[in-house]
Amino acid sequence: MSVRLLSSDSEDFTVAKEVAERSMLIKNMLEDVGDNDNPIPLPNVTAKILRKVIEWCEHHLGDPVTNDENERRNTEIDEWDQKFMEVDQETLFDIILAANYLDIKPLLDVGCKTVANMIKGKTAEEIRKIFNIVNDLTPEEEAQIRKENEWAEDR
Amino acid sequence: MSIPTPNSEQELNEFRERWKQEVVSKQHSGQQTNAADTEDHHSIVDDNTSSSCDKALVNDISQLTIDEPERQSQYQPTTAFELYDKAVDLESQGQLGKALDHYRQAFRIDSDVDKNYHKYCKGGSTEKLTAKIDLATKTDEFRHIIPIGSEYIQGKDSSSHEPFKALLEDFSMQDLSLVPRLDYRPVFLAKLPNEILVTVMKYATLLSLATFFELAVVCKKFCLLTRSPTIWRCLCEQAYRPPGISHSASQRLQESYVKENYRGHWMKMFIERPRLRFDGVYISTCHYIRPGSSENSWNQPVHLVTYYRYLRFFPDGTVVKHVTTAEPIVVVRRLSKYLRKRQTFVGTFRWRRNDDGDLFLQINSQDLALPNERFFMTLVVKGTQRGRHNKLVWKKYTSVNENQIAERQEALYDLKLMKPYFFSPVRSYHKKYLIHFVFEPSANMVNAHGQLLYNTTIGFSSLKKFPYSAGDTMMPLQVEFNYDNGDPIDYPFDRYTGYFEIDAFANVWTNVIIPLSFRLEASMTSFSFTPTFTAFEQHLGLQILTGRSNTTLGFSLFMCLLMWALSLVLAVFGYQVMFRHRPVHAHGCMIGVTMLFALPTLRSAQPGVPENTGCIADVLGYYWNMAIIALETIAILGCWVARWSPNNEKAKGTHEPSKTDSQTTLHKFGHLEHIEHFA
Repeated sequence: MSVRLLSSDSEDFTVAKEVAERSMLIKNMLEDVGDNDNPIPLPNVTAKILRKVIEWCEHHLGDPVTNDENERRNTEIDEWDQKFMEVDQETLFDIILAANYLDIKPLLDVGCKTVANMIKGKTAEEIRKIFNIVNDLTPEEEAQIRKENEWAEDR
Repeated sequence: MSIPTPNSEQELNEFRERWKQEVVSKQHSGQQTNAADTEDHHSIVDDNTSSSCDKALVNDISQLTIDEPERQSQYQPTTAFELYDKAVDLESQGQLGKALDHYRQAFRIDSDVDKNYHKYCKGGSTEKLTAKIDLATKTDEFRHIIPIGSEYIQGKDSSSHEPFKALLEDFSMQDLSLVPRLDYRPVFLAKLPNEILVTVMKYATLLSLATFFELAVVCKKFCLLTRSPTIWRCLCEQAYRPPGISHSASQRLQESYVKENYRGHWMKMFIERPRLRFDGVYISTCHYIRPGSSENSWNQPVHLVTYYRYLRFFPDGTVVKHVTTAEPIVVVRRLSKYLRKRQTFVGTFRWRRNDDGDLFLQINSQDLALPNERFFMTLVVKGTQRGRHNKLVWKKYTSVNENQIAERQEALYDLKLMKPYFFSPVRSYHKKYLIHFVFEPSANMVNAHGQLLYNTTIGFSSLKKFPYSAGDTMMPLQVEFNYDNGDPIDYPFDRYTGYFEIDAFANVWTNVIIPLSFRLEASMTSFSFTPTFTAFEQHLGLQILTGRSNTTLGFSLFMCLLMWALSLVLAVFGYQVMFRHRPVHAHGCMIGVTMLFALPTLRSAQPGVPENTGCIADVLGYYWNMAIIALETIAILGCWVARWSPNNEKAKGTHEPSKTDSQTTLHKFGHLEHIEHFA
């Protein structure tokens, strides 16, 4: 049993049904539509990203589905996922967006954890550099925020 | 003022008399004239250097006044300052004895050093502090800090919150789109919707609270997002989850708590409600004075002994207490439930509320060597200047002998010697291992389709519980555990130990313990696992010892050997060049330089070696060989450079037949002679 997926740049992917059903969006769609040979259009995902997402779903096919929040909450990323997420920032964010759109919670979590690891222990200036953003706070505002949050300053 | 008038001359003479008496009396009483006084006198005396009797005094005085700056310049006032700074640092780390020494030295040099230091601290303290924070975040090392200073006090609500609220409101009105720093690079982050950014911040804050502090000042948008309740709810649910309660139960518990006490404000709850931290140790530095003995009666030495009380809490409700004179850097990594040392107490902790409604912590512990004695500690969580909830203050400390429990004979300890505990984070506690459990229920528990007949619960270390209801098939589980100790710095001899307990219950009529049998299959490249089972009455204990596999160990040592071989070969080459006058050419010199680059590659070829240098394998091979090769390279290069002379260079020309112009042929003849001469 396989499913056909159509990326935004109209590339056709054929994947096993179990793999596609890691995505809650596709799973629900299949339940609504029933068995059908027409490809499922995914207008928000490019072929490049869809290929990555399918790769991830195939690797994690055997994973037990844990609904335990606590399980998902641990901040570690397994080794394969770390390798998988070694991509440029644009691709990383696109994968996260695709996971969000396709409703693949574990992949979304892995993506967010990867970004969190990028900024862990960095200073504000380093974070700005990583994401290429400008500091739009005035020094007074910055001082005020630091004062307010001073309880969390971990020395 | 060179020619004084007769009238003033008389006045001055009177003054001189008075002043002389004063000086004499001061000398008698042995009092030191203070610097301001002497300077005043000095200026007066300068004006009448006519009298011979005064001249001597003038000399005396001028010597006195010059003396002071001279002494200062000799020892350099910065040294006094540095000594003082060092002393403050030592004191903050609890090493009072050493600190005292430094203070004494500093004051001997400059009696005003404390005033200067405080003046400096007022002006530049922020810089100094930030530098220290940087140091702490950059190096992964453990740093034991005891803050000295007043407790953390939240600013008054009316004064500090209102303007901040206004600021936030002001932000939310503005356009918050992220502006790129470099125009030619787009801001990819802008693609992510806010809820995903919040999830990212949630994970980052879970990793370390300090990251939140930095995130909030990145830009306006980030500042607003860090206040989102999702983040704080998640942190609260994790921080305040009582041991032995399922996650969903904890969620309900926290939700009602936050509504009752903090009007649903999760962040406020996280800031204000006392909590314990599990990612480090609480250390109390105590001192006592022991009188020493001496041979003579006029000198009574005193020993200042520093010892430490350690407390480490675990999320499963257990606590380890250890009392020792060993310094924190040695102890913290070893501090686990399985520490078998004198003065180690293992017990449990729970939160209690006193009559005023204040939360306090109660610890019930037992010394392994004294099985009949139970110790009860009562502590209150406080904050310090460097953060909240990082200080434990003693309220009560008692012990009861179990044989006398009926008689309620409590031994009360004096709290005068007990200093409060301060929290220090320890990074190495975070190493984890994941176990994938597959269950094969025996035939009398399941029907033909593998469905359970009874409600069954699997529990791990009474911390996590996984219920299966009747009719379910037993799905595999993945559970994560923390290693209790081990440190990659010991590579390739690093070993990690982890321990957990597993139990299983079936609900037939009442809870029935299910007997368990266990098989562990573990494989991970370059690691070996040694499990040890301990059977208890109701559960199984499993200790896992993880170390490098023999192949890894062998290969790593082989790499070290290779490095030694490389550097020794180069050493021989260096010896030949230096002492046996082996000729060197440009490529001969390059060997050493190339090897300098080859060595790091060899090092990283060791399987699983930590990225940062400093592990045992590095001490065994890498450092030494780097040094040897660098020295040899310098020696060879040195010889090459030193032995060069224009004549030699011309000699080289003889070996290069490609040069055919007349000049070289001329030189050629010239040099053949030269070579013959040498022969």
